[in-house]
Amino acid sequence: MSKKIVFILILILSIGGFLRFFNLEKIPLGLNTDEASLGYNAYSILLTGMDEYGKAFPIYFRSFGNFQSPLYTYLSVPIISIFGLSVLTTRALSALSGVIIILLSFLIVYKGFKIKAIEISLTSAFVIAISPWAIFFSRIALEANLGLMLILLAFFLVISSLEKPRMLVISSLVLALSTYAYHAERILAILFFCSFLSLFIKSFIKNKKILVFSLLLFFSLQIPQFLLFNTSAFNKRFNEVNYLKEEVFLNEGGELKNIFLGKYIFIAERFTSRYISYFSPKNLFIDLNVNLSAMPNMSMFYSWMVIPLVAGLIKLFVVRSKTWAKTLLLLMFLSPIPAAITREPFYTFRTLPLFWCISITIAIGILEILRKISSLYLKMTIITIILIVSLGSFYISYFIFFKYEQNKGYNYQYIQLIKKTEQLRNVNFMVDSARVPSLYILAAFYNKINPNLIQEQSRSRQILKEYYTNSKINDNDVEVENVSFHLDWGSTCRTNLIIAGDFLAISDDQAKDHHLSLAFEINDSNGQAYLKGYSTNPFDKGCGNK
Amino acid sequence: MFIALFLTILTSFWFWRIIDNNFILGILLVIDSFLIYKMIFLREETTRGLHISILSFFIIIFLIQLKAGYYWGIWVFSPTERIPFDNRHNYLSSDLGPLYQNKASTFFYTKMTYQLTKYNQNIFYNLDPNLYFFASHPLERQNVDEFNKYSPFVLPLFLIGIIGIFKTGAHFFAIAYGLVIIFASGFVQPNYISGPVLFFPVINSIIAKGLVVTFSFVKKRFKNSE
Repeated sequence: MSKKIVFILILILSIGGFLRFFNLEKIPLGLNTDEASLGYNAYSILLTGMDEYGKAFPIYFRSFGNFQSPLYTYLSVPIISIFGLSVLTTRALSALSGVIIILLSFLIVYKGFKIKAIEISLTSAFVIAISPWAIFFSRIALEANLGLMLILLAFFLVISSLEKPRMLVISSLVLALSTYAYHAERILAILFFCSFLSLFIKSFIKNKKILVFSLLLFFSLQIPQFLLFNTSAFNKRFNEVNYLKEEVFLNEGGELKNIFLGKYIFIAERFTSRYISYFSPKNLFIDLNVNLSAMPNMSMFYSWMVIPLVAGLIKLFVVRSKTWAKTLLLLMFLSPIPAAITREPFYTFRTLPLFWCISITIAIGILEILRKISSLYLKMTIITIILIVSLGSFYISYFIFFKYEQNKGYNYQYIQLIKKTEQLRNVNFMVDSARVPSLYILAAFYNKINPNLIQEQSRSRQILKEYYTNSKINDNDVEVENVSFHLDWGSTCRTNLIIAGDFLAISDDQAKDHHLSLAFEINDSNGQAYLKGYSTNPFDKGCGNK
Repeated sequence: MFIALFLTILTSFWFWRIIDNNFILGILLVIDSFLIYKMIFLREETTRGLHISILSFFIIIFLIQLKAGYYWGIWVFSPTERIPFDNRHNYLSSDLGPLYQNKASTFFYTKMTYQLTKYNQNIFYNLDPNLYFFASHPLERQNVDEFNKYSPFVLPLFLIGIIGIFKTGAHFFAIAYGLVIIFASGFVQPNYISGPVLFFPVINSIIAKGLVVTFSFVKKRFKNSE
């Protein structure tokens, strides 16, 4: 590789790194409870070797009745040990994974696909660096992003194994690790590994020992997960979100309930509609219903990218017999399967590998189009205009609209409240957590509560005995220093107490009835009071000597 | 081939809905389907007259649709759209300062952004395969009467037809026509009662092609096995 190529690659990595790390602790504004759980559990493992419930080095991390894949938490431990627990260190691993994904994109296309034109590799890396989906998912603590990075690393190694068979062993190890990174990868890794080996079986059958060893390695590393196969830890999330169950068919089957094999037609229809939706230009290129897995006014890709995507798909079709095209198409068509068997429409977290494949196809399409333009001046003008418009619209969607419109989803107002409780340590707080049931984890995170204090409360609730099996134990009844997270109107007779919540929790009439005095307000992004804190007045209420 | 096209049209739910709402539009679309099929898949038989006919039909059908759905397509805010739009005006003003607080920027945002966004959305909604085969399921649109246009069982034929286009390539006029109907469809509201009818002839042609290819394949296999 020439110095010029290395320089351009470093420039692309710098741009990608900047877009992923710039103001990472401030945008998204706040922290969602899953991120707080990842960070705090890493902190707890670091200090005590146990998670917040007192479980030593769990295979899955229990989190508010659900279970998180463990790898992100464990890999965050060294980061937190060096730099401390903070929003930045919690998100750092995802951002770092995002930068590695850019590098892997270059390596996969350059070394893995062995496409001679270096500009395809550089364009692929650049498209990943500036794609909205890649930046967005790198800027939240997201297990799926780590899972994508590992899948791509395994993808690179497995393609390399076609020429260097020993790489298959390392790729099987990395693929096995990816299944501990995110739930969707448990399905995708197995599907991809088995499909790839089947597709290129003639290459691998010459090295039977390596093939068998790799398969054994991959499946033996799944043993800890298989041991939990019949527990809530392994399958609760899947049971909640799939549509394969009888009751779903009975509720939503409609006329198919009266048809022979109606359930299977129902499942096939559901699967196909969801699978197709992940390739739909509508979902990929325009604004979705705004939620935590998307930005306002922007979808996974810039709108203009639909044109090079079509060009890239045509090119892929033309060269479909080539090994690199086969492997890319294989990953592309397998990636949506884990998401397509769940109920949520277009759940982006579960299909990051698909977005990567689409990005590479877009890069191929961009070069196909640019090759048809002979004038260098025209090419540079088009590229410059598109870049300015794209990055400008991304800046507006993410750094402005997203910051204001999604701060409730990232609990910004509740975090301000928690900081208030830290400032007023001598006062007791009773915070309503009906809208954010796992609010205690934010308090534990921001106040860096000693994990032993949280673990003791869990032990008293017998959670450890049924850690993996019983997800129904109410594990939200936790107190953090001077804060409890349940409203008890009987406590309004206590002194030195502030009751806090939104207008649904504490109406003006209730405040009046209980003789509460407004102590503070916390505003939302539009400057309107969102949370209010009221101090109790037991004497005014007539509580007597309390 | 034309039998395949005829079958495709008659068995689609969409055709009957169009006929029910506007009989003349339905007939025009059927004729247009045959013309489009000839243009895309029988390229050796295309003539200038065919191109002019297709263009004429396009203009008539587009005007019929535009008359019903133009105003609501890109010019009308619903209340749920208005509120975030106004809030974003404040966010931009607050964060961008003088970069936004000038005549050009505010004019662009208040007078053009909404229309451009709606236009963009309308185009991409019409490119959603689920709109045609699954009544937009699983992401049904608010305030839109989603209806089944084709049976989901026809989807494989559609995909085979698309591959057929990739294999044979497309005439320049066909590509241009495709782009024109895509951009034109953006001007019409998504909940137009008959749906995105400009795509009706094209999709029928592609499905019919898929049917022809499948039938040929089965016939060939049957002959070989004999």
